[in-house]
Amino acid sequence: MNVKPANHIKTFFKNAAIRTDPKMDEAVLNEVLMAQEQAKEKESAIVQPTIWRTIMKSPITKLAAAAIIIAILIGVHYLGRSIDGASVAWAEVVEQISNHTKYKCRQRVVREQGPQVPTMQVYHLNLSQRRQEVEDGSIHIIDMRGTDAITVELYPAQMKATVTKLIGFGPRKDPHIIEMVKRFEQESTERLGTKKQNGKILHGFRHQPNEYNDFTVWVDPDTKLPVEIELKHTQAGQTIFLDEFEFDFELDPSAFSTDIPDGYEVKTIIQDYRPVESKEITAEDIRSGLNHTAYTIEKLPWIEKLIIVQTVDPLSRIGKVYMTGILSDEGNNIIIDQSNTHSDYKEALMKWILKEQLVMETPSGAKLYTHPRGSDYARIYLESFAKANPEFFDIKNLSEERFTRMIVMSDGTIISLSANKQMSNKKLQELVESLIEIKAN
Amino acid sequence: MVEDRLLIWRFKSGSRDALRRIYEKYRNDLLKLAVNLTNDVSTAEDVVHDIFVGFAQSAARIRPTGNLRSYLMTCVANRIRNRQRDRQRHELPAVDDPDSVASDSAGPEQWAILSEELQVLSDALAQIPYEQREVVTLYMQGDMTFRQIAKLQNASVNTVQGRYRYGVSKLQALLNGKM
Repeated sequence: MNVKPANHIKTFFKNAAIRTDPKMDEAVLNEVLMAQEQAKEKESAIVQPTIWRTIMKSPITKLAAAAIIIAILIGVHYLGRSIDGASVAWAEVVEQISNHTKYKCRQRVVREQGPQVPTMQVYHLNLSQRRQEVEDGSIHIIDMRGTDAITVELYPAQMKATVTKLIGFGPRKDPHIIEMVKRFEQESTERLGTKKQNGKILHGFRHQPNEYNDFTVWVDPDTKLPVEIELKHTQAGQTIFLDEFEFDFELDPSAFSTDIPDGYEVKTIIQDYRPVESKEITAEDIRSGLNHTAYTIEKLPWIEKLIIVQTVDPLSRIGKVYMTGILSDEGNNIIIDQSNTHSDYKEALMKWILKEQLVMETPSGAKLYTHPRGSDYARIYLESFAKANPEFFDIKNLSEERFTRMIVMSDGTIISLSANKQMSNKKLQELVESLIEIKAN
Repeated sequence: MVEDRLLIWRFKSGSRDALRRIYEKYRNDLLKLAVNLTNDVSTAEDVVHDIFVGFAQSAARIRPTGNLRSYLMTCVANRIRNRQRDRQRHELPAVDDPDSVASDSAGPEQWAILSEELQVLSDALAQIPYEQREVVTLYMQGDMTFRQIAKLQNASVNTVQGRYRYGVSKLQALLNGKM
């Protein structure tokens, strides 16, 4: 009996079982039930004032009302919320924060997975300038006052510095966490009650602006200023902790200078944030735009059309990419992508590529590797090209066969190839072998 | 279906037991769906945890009619697709995440424990494009119709059926010999 493939797959789905750890089940269920309780309390808190007003209207029920109010206060206290008379209004916190634009704090980031971020002391001089002293001894200075922002990383122990110039990035004000906290509205900020820390009672507030961010702020009721802020990135599995706040710190202005001290070995990285005009260009434009070998394609008999465009990098939305679009006589749309890479990025990219599968090595020594998200990558680049040049490709013709290959040329240059439809190995090899270096006129 | 309607009514009235029953009834289904869509047990656990917490807080918004299982499955699929989209928007091509490989070993605090068949299926699904993976999983495991899936993917029914055909064909090749 010839069973259709779909039935086999369906059987696989059916047999593929899952079970759960009973302890974790209970733990998750408890959290879910607690969420239900909290939701009910919120609804009840909104409804409560209406009930009070109704009761108080009637002179007969005033005594009973007093009993209810006392009961409710006791109930609130039982749930852990404060009935401390010296409570803090969120608006007062915002006012105090707004009076202090200069502050320092300790910043710790805890990640559930992956490499950890070092702890640092952060000095915010203003919204455009800050200094970060990292626990590994390095120092970062960030200055976004000008059109071209600058970040400096100093490594005093090694006498090395990395300067990154972000062209067209500024002037910019950094919406750091205190700035975000200032914008919370009173109505959407939940009171958490109090906690005792280092002999002091702190008042807590919570605000979840969206499903990605969860803020908790603990405030000194005397100064109305934050003592601790916790920002949970719920989807990213990381939490940022800010504490050891000092408002209006004293530090010499030269501590925020981006000048490199004498004797340092300096590496400079340029990142271009200027808007990119999407347009058709020539091979010579690619050569003059790239900081490494630029490639063009020799005409092949099965290439019907060849167009070169520059556009903004569709992944990072920063900087230019140069895409050579090829339309084959079989109606396939192929894109060769080239862009600038600085040495650190190229090194990291090579490490990543070498973990992929080598699918072809051409006679000239070019190596083709798979891409783990080749289908998504191909879609992004095809869409980007279609936007820059709608005549080349209609996104409605996006094929499920699309794929991407990372190509490491014999001279070490890395370029990518994305195609809307499958290609034979013969045609793929022909295309890669037809890549020639663009030389100056 | 009738039981689900009663459960929803009771949940909307604030019943903890109803919420507990909903959780116990659909927890495994949702975990399996999330594992098949992400090929990452930790991510799947996070998503399903968040979906149930969100559901617990949504009594006022849930409609008493409608298919509860489909509703929860759609929530899981939407959440995972949003995560995929956010990852693509914020990540360069995996340079900063070279070690992100699906975790298949049960750690000390792992909630979901996969059978070997589910691990094989999930690994195979991870090798087909996301849209195809979503269609095949929601159709075969979620028992959703192509029309429902088309609405979720904001695509035409024809496109969805095409994705299904390609996806099944690739899965067949990948799972050949493992069945």
